[in-house]
Amino acid sequence: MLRPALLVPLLVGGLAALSVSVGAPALATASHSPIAGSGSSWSSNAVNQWVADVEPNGLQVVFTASGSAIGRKDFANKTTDFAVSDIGYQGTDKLTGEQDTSQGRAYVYLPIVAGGTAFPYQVKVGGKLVRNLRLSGLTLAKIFTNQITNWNDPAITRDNHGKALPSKPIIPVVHSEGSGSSAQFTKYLDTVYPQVWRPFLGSSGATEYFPRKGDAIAQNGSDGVMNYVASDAADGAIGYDEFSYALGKNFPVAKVENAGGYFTQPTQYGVAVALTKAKINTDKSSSNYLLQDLSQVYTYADKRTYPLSSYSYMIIPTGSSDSRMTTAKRQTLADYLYYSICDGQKEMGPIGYSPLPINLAQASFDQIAKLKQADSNVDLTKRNISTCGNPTFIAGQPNRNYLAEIAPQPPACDAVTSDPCAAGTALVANPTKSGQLPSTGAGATATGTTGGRASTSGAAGTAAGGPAATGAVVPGTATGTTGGTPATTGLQTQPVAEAVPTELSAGRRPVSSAVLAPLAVLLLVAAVVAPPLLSRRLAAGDATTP
Amino acid sequence: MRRLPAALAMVALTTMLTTTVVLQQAPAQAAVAPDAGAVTVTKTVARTHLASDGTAVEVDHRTVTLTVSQTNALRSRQPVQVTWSGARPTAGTVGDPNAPEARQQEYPFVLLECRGIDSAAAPLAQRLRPETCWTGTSRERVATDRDTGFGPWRLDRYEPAAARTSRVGVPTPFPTKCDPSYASGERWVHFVSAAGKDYAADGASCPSVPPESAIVDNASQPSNTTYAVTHLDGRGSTKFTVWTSEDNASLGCGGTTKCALVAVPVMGISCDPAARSLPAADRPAGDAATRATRTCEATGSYQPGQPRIGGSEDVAVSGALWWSASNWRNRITVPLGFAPLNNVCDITGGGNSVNVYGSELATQLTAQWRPAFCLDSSKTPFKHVQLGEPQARNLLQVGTVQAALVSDPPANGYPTPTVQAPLALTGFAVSYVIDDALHEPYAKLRLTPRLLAKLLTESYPGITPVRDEYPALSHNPLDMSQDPEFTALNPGITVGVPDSAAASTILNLSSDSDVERALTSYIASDPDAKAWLDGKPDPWGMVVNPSYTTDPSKPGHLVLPVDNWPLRDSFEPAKYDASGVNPCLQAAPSPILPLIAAPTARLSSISLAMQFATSSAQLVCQTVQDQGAAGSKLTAEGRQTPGYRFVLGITSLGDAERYDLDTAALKTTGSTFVGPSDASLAKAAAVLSVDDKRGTWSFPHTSTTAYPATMLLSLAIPTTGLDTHTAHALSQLLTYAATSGQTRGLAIGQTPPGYLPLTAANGLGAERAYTLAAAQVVQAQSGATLLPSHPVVPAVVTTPGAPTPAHTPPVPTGNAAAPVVGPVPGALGRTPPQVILPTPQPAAAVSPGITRAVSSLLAADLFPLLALVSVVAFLCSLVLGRTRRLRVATPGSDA
Repeated sequence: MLRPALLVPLLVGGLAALSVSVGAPALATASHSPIAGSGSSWSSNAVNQWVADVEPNGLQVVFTASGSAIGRKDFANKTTDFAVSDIGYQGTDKLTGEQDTSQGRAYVYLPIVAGGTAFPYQVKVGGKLVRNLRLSGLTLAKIFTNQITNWNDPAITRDNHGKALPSKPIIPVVHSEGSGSSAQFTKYLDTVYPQVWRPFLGSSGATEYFPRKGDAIAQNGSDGVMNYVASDAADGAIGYDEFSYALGKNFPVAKVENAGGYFTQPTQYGVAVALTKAKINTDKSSSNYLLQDLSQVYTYADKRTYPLSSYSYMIIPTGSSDSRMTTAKRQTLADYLYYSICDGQKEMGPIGYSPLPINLAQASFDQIAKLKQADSNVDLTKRNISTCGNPTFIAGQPNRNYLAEIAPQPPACDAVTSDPCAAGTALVANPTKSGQLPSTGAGATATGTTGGRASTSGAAGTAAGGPAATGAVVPGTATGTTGGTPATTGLQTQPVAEAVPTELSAGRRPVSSAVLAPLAVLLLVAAVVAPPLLSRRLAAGDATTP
Repeated sequence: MRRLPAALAMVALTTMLTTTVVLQQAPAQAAVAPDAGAVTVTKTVARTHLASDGTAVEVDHRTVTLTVSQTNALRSRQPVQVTWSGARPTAGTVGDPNAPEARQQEYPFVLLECRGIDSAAAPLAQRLRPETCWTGTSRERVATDRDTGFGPWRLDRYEPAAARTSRVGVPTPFPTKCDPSYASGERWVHFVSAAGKDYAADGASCPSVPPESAIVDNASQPSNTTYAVTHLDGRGSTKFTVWTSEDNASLGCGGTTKCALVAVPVMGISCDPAARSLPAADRPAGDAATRATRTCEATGSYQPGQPRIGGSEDVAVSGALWWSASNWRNRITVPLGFAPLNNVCDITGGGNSVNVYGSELATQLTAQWRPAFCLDSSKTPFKHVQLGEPQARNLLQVGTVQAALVSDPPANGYPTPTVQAPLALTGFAVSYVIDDALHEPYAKLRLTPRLLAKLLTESYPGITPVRDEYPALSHNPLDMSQDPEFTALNPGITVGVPDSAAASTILNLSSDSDVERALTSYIASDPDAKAWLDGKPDPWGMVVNPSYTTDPSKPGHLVLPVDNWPLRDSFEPAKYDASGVNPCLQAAPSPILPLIAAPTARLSSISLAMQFATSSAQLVCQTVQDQGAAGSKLTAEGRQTPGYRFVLGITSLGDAERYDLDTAALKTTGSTFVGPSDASLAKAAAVLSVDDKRGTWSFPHTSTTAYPATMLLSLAIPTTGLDTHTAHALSQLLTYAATSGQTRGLAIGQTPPGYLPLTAANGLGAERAYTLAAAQVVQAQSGATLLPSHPVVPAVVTTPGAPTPAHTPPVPTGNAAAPVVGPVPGALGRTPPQVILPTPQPAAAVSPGITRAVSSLLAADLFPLLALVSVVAFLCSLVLGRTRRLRVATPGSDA
């Protein structure tokens, strides 16, 4: 009697006309499915920008910046489709003794972006932010191991060519979460200053869990660290994180001394130059294939280099029977990665990272191909190096990095032997024409010559605004500018009227005429060679000026 | 018995008659697209057991009315408001209605997104049924009974005989990875994907689930399966997030695939313990029959409204059996219509795209415009790289980027000739999730600038240790819900909330932003707020946190407006820290009010927090891997409990509309309160004042009808120095922005809600004319700028060989000094351009001509000269720089 007929569903709502699209355009061919990942907050500004970029391509990617350690753990537990981590699986963490493996889940690493670990700091003198502080690696090591505890420490004065800060306790601010930036920083400390670092840690090696000791403050995540360092309670604080976080707040970061005797900031150029010395594991049979050995990066003597530069990695699942993965998810992952390592690299400079060099982009392609090896239905057509819009690319010369080649020399005032450069108005990433694909011949030359648009805009008139709006660092980078005028008053806290910016006006125009090419080359040479020479001579002159 | 089908038909008929489709007219939300298609449905639902003598015994019946706020033009991850009345109150309630555990509540109101057409006439593959309904986990579709083997679903009088046997839907062979002890009486409800894959039947893992299931692990994207709470008065409401195939390919909604929102008001199983029509094996007997009957006919082990305290719910009335015939027949199905999918761009096609950098206010607008560019081969695709406006502006000024989405111009003008072309009138919203005294979302919040100032300045103690130990704040209300100013404005909200920390602050940006400047300008423009910030107590005696005083006589006082809200308070509650209640703070004391404020770098993060009512206050001490205090860290409080929520955040207007966030009405310069809507933005358009000096329009806080948080969104582009490809692409973008892009709608290429289109009808004709003219000067790259009062494209004298001022290398000063070409005398009567200046300008404003692409040729000719000039200038500057160094070489400011 209880027949299925009784189950006749009730038709309600009248099946109102659905507003289905009229003339809907054809969908992108490959079918996609949302993917989720977690991990590094060091690279999350980059990863999340790409997430936003690819939405019109039908790619839904959710990324949670919970820290590299949790990212790797989530991946191992198969709760995510990818992880972003600044280091590989460690086996065992030094501090916690925690097992750190993928628990058998098949994976490969691929580099996704480069960047610099920056040191945002808050030191106020006369109520104003100092914006042109310089610190050597040894000083940084001693600050974060609680050995240098006051800003008037002679070591800091020495870093700033004799310009002393007032007595003010230093508040080191470290990450409380298992963080890639902690790993990046402690790897540097362990490699370059083991005698300072190892007694503090109590063992050797890097750790993602920075041990908070003494008066140091631990804060959760990049937002937490930046919020603390920038808060009024934190006069005297110094933290560490990827450069992009300081840029978003226009907050000063220390210039760090490199082995070439210059203090630099983590611009895309400084990072690109530094990472030409990264030793990438190219042993495809190694479990650390494509991971980085940065020991020569830290000690590279090129004066343009930023020593705390590194790559960040994605960990992707490559097992053909991975229970979390489907064709549609692998396709989403492949397309997301294709975009990220190619077109997505173009915007990295402006937002505070540095694009991948093309040889690593190529290696990443080989890793992406493993998604197709796991599942032959994944479509990789046209997703290759020839369609790749990576801005470091020089056609036909995959081992050269365009950015590293056009990287400008630092201004003379960034030399160890000079007084610190004056502060400008704003912290700006890479104040030059950049992020452009070098086209061919004269075009590339023309781009090179425009390294010199000064970053100085009306420094005198930053009237309103809070205390943070006063004098700022001119990221002294550009060849052929006067942006980096040396200050003669040490740690300048007043806004300084800057020199008139010089503009090579024709530079950005597409100059195609063959007649112009030799001239352009000449200009380039002049622009690259002359200023450092001149500046150095001028600086040398200054040194004796009372 | 015969009469049953007839009765059902009557119910169906009644339902159809009472189904009303209403165009939404909500005045406060006028910006919602007019075709939202709100739907209200009423249905009578019942629980009626079958006695052993065959008579029906009705236990309960209810008449449920359901309203869904929007059923048309739904987009990816679109939340819709679902409200109902007349349902049976929920018992054994849990906090998070999206958690899989929420299914264990008694009498929940279950909401599911299901694929198909709800009609027996539809072919099986297209029919809506439990197998096409999404659940986040497999636990929500498997039932077992290890006691008698006769779980309530086997006694369900409405199930067909075949579904009342011992093992129903159990895959064969039994998945090897599944626990074999499941093998007593059990029922599996398979999920069938849009592609036709049957997941329970796939024995690869146990339980076998579609790949999207695991998204539930990610806190930011909970499953949309909702086991909502009906309150004691029979009412309830919740946001339901609709998914398209972009969000969930296995469910696969949108395009040509029809889907519906299905509401199952759980009434409990209608039991037929005698099971006379069934074979003996399916009839419980003896003691088992007694127990099985008791289980099936149970009416709940919790009181209505009582929170769940773990275990022991009556499964027969729980949400876990939403799929049972007794519950399923009570369902209300509301068909959903979807907007065209936006996933149309080829991933390999973006190679020559141009990037615009800047404002997150533009995110929803650019997301809807971008597909229109990648679909049109005559247009260059663009990307919007999201940065704070000040950062984008800096990058533009130094030449790193070619286009910046901003609201304000630089304080001192652009160093090179630049146009700042309006794209839309939009703004920020004070979004919130606040539940009223009836535990329902409060939909008409009103805020004053002074209340915003109180939240921002951390002047509410937030937690009792701060109130007890911080004398400066000890007499202030603990949180905003307890502030008499707030309660007077917003009657019906409970005084005192469980999460007072979250109710003491507003989630705000930590990075530099024009939004922060607009927000703090609004606050500073209000006399009451300003007086309070200066130190004058409010009428109820609340005072400003002294760290944030704007009293000019106090050293280090705050000066408004700011680009970046500072974290100025440094109080640490020493006794509380020492008490060890919070081991993290005990181990490492830290200023606590900044931890409660916990600002974040992106507006999109704030909008996510508002979508899920997440408190960002960093007060939860979490132990990291059992390493004791040394391995502990403070983390955010997380999602709040529905019914008791109180969070506020600053979001973009576009996000607020996109994610259907509740937004506060803000006090105007008069004593009116105005929320965001097309109408109130148009009122703002009417009072925009042209400011030629800044090269844009300003929004004065003078209107009593304009939305106070209005901001003009513009795209700043230099008019000299761009390469032709970039100039052309950006010019195209501006032309599009001033023409086809300004159609209001949800389709590709249109302007979504939250942005008032630039039209004369909206009072934005002059802004539109500027943007059209800007497209031409950007294309020309001749170094011209435009006056907002008079956006006329300069004429170019094209006499061969005669350089004109337009080609002179630009002078790096403000806009005012850049070569601005006004109306040319005698230009009247020449061919008018396509530019139409609709409103304010007299006839003389007709533009005289179009700049030709002659400039780059001239530039090429002039290149050697320019180069020479440059080198000379460069050398001069070095010398000058040196001189200046000597001049400023004064000792001692280094302290």
